[in-house]
Amino acid sequence: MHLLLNIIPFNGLNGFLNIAVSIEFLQNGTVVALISCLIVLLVILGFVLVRRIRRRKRIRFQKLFRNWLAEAITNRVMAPEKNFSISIQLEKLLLKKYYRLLALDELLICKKYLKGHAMNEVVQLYQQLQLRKETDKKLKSYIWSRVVKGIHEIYIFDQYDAMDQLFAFADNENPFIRSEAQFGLVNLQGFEALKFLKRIHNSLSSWDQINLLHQLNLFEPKPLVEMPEWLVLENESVVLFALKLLEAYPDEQYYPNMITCLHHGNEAIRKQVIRCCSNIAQSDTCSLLEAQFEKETINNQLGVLETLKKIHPIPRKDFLLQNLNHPDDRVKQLAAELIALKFPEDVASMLLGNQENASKREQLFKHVQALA
Amino acid sequence: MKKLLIVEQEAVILEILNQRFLADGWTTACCSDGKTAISLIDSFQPTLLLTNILIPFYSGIELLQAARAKTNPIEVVILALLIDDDVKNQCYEMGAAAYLTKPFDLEILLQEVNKVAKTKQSILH
Repeated sequence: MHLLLNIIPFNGLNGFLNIAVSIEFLQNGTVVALISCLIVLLVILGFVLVRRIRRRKRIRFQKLFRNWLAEAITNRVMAPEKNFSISIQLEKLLLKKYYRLLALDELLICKKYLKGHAMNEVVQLYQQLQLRKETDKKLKSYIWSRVVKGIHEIYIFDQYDAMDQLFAFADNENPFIRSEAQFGLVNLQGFEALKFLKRIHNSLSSWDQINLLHQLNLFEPKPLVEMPEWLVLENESVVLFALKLLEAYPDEQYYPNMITCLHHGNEAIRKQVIRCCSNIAQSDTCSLLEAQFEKETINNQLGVLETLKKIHPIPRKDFLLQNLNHPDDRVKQLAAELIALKFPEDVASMLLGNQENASKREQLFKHVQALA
Repeated sequence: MKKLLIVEQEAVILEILNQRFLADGWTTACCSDGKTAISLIDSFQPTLLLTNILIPFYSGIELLQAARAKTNPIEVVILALLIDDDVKNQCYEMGAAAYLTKPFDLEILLQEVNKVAKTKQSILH
């Protein structure tokens, strides 16, 4: 208060207080406050009312559209030769963008849950109602989530003519857009769509790779003719994905291309090559893996031994014996298991022959026997 | 009279199922949640129940249990989004007549439901 009195001159404050407590000022102030409250209330009420009206309209439209859609699908399934027209009321409503988007959502649900003849009818209705225009608008949007939705609609409604657009989106800077586009391409074309791999510069995340592999699983396998080109690409995520494809769909003709990646600078790629070797091993696989073993990380060394267990060619005895003295116990155990598996007849002499650490090896041998 | 109770959460799918079964001569009652379904089982007294597993309030499995526990057990066809063998086996063990997964072919579903109804009718007579 003292501070306030210092700032405002005494006379000024006195005058202000005289005006503030005057009846006229208080009356005017009350009226202004009441009008303001009333305006705020009216705005809130108006907002609620508009939302309610909109909600009612939406529900009414959805009911009407669902009814028509169900009737259209049922009639077309039962009598395909009959022409089923759209009601005038619905036709008028569908001129508005808001209702067209609602209709699109309903068709998306139908396409997701139906198959067979009914599903084909849903796609035909999408075309008949010219909802592709809405999808195209979404594809041109600056908001990424709308573009993703547009891409989703393209592949859900089997719009093969938009493949070029999807190919362009497959290398988009936005990870969500490119992920959806890549998934959409594979959803539409299966193995043939994998040609996008050569064109992309952005990386494929692990999640994208899992999704693509899962989606490909639904298609009849086709030869991966572009494999040699994929394996020498600069984009390491594509090389890794190509190797995963080779693991899932082994093809011996690509063995020479695959094995060159064993000396790749990326550890994950070398790990994947080691895994692939279990499916398409050849006569030189053992020697190549043994030669690579010393240069590898512990995880990849374990991978090499796991692969040697699975493949037909037999590793060198001295290589395995040497690894019984490896500092990592997991490597020791795998080496012992390999000896027991690949050289069962002379396993005891091999394990116990060298007197150094004989007791430890005996324990290991017993452990391996117990595992077997 | 063939009476079918359809329980499905997706309104548009529910409407399609309703219209298709009506066109096939069934008398139908529809709902989208387990609570209403339980009351409809008592009031509508369906001969067959077609239900999804993931529905609000009660699951399709609970509905199956309730429908089979009746003195005159109701035949149940499950229409699920889950392709889980454990759930499928559990449904069959609890007395489900058929287990179909989404996406589904409307005509195959219709055939399956009619087959179940026919089997039940032949057992009763």
